Amino acid sequence: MSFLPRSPSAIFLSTVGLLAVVAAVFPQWLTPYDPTGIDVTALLAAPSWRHPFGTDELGADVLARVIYGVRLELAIALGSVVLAGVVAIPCGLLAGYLGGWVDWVLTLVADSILSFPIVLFAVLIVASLGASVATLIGVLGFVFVPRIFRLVRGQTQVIRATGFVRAARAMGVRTPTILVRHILPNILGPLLVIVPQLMAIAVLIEAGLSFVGLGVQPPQISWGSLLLVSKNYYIAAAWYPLAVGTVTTLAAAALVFGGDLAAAAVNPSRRRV
Amino acid sequence: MSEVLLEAEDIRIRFAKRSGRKNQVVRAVDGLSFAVDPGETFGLVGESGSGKSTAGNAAIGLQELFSGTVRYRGEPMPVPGSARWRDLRRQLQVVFQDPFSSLNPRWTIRQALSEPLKLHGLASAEERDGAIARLLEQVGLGAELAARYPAALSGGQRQRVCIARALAVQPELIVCDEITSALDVSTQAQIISLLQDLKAQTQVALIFISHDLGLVRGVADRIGVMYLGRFVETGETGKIFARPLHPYTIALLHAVPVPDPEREAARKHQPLHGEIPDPADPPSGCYFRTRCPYATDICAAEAPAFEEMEDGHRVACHHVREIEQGVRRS
Ligand SMILES: Nc1ncnc2c1ncn2[C@@H]1O[C@H](COP(=O)(O)OP(=O)(O)OP(=O)(O)O)[C@@H](O)[C@H]1O
Ligand SMILES: [Mg+2]
Repeated sequence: MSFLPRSPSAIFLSTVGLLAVVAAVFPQWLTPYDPTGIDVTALLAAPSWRHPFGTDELGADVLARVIYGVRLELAIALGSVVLAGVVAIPCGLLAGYLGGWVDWVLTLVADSILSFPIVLFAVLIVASLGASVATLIGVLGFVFVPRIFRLVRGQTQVIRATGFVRAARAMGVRTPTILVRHILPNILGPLLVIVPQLMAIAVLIEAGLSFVGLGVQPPQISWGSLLLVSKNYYIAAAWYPLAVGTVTTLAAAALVFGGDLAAAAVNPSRRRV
Repeated sequence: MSEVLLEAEDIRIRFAKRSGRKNQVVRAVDGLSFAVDPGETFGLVGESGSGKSTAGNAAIGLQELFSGTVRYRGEPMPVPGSARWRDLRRQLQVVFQDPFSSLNPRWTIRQALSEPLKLHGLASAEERDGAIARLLEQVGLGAELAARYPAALSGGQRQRVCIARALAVQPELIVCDEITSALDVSTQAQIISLLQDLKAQTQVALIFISHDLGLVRGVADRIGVMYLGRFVETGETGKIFARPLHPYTIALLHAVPVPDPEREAARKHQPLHGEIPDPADPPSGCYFRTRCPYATDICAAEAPAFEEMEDGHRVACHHVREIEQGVRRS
């Protein structure tokens, strides 16, 4: 019952989330057009009531293409965050709880990843594995690992020192059980808060990498691949790249904003239990 | 039951501490020896930072030693994490100071109390609710609390739940680490009287840690007064209160108010001056000399021996004879 949206932040986040999920699963509910439909009578048509974002170089509705792009966008953003979480959460728990050399080594690895330039890294990986959605998810996931790791590690260090964890240890509860049953549930709040933030970064990096040809390849539709194609028409049809770029930026902003709202909701003496 | 339950022999515990650019060593516990008999309550008293918690944790195998030994029923404390060590978790329990962080905020009281029962196979699923109700009753709480979350409980109630959780495994020894210091005075008194009842009912031994000598008097059979990781005075509670011999104990006792207001007003106060020294950089000789009204040159030159004054009453002070005379005269 505490999962029903009550606060404005929860309502905002769930609206954005619902819209994204509908666009990803049932895009046909949101637009009557076929994103790959060709209409030679309306190539690069300017925005109108029928085509709010105009049409592309083959006459397809740009709004429809943007909406159909959400699926891949969401898959990349969620996929990379989940991938990173699968690696970073156990590592962060262990580093934060055990300390010592385990912590030292894991933190060193995380910091090394953090200090590596993302684009250079992406170029290296794409050059050796080829540009694809899977590679992109892998690159983003890798980039997110240290961010999630640091958060989990820090939170774990705080909770490790609390009485209930020490009492569990004194009682003989084994370390894996302490990590999963006592510590993890208590860091879920801060953990969920950074998910929209990381997804925003994923959307922006996807756009950037695909734009330079290192991410999603046309004809697969993502916002980045749309940007890549649309930039060829920035003189003849300036609204085309502009519309795609604006949607990308707004989506990222909404995610960051949502993350901030969630952080504010989680941070101060929230504990309503 | 004359066998000693727990015995600490010359235990030392050190922590690395970084202050600025220097790496220092904190001797949190610096050569403590004590023994606890079955069913006995040993009071550990001292100011903040004197190493009480560290000593308490070490006594039940939760803190690695730098040197010395802790023996439980004659056997050395096994390595943390080993099977033997895990077995001992049923015998040795602890209750912490802060009742607000001592219970998982996401667990109901039932879940909190189920954990030890399940872990040590002490009650089947059907028996569990009954066992939880009995535990709650034992610490003076109603069974209806089991369904609540810690946030819905007062500090005193939570501390009772923590005591119940420690009792769940039917331990032989519970370390109570400042368990009343986060509570208001009347709740403190209730918890103390609960401990007295539990001692009588269950024969559990306690190591009762507090900075408040007055509180310790109510529960402890014997007392060890700590200063910077060492004992300055140990002995039976009655003897220490009747005839404190170490200047530090005397000063601590002066800080304990006397219940009778007339006598309280007539008392000569001998407050402790100054701060407790940095445990990473203790004074030479007797650690207490920097704050001691009796301190002379010898106190700076050498550490006093821990002398037995009478049966079980030991004092570490170069000037204990003078003090003894003085105490006799007044
Ligand atoms: N894990 C640790 N790492 C480093 N130093 C520690 C650690 N635990 C304790 N210390 C230091 O050891 C000394 C003794 O600490 P301890 O907590 O045992 O004292 P205490 O008598 O229980 O005090 P308090 O009344 O504040 O609880 C202190 O100087 C403290 O800073
Ligand atoms: Mg302490």
